[in-house]
Amino acid sequence: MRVVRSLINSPYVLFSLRTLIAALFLFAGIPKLLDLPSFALAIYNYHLLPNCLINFGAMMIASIEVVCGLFLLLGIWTRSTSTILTGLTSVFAFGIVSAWWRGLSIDCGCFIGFKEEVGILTLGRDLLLLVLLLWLLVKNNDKWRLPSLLSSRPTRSASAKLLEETNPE
Amino acid sequence: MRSSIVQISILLLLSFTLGNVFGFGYFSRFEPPKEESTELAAKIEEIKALLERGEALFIDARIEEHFEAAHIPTSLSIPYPDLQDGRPEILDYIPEEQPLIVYCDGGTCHASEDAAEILKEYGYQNVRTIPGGWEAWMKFGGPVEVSP
Repeated sequence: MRVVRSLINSPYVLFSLRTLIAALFLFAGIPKLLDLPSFALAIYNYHLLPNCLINFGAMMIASIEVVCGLFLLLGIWTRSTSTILTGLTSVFAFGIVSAWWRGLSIDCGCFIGFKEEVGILTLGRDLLLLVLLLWLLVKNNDKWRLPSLLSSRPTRSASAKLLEETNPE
Repeated sequence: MRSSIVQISILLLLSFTLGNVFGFGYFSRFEPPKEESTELAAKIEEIKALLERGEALFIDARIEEHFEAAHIPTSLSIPYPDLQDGRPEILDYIPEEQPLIVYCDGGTCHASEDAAEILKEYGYQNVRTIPGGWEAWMKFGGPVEVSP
């Protein structure tokens, strides 16, 4: 139990998790942004949105994945990006369950260029991602975030002290 | 809490801006891809004729529940996931020269094309799909067998 707790709180694990999730969203989002018509078609196949919202939805989902992925990778506003991505992943999970429930055998559209039919595997992966995002949302304080790294530069007095030690004259 | 709301708003605004850079004109209404109705109708008519003459064996690649609810008469249920799992035993009884016609749910599903590819790998060279799948078959009045 103690091992699990230390793993959950480990800054190394949190850093790896944040990097992994950020890379995943960038890997998913960039091809969508570069090929919005294909992604719009993937959304259309779910038959959940009216046609007037599909292009806008495709544009927003793809760009949110890229922007939040980038911010998450740099560790900027981790809690806010995790909140948005948790919401987005919940929407994906709802879409998959709904398509599955209606017996639609469609491409999930998760990664453009990789055909994956909606089903238990895509739903399982989505739910796992949701759990990891929630974990990141609660424990979002690894020390390798860009703001922490910038603020941990040596202070003026510390730098001066270091200078004095190396150059006594 | 307030700072989170501001940050989320900024992130969404940034996403909106980025999306506009890549997706200029994406506020327009989505036009679903559709095959010319007349062309599709002609293809369905051609397939109906094959069914009436008994010149092809129909393979239903949809899930079993859908097959049990209704299907094209004389068709055989081989759900696409089963084909993915390996060569189904039932194929041992179907000669490789037999023309096959595979169908799935509708125009938006690709299972029939993928199933046709797998069947070709198993040695069946004369494999076709129903364009628009079950949806188009129903739309253009293809005969249907409903389970009791």
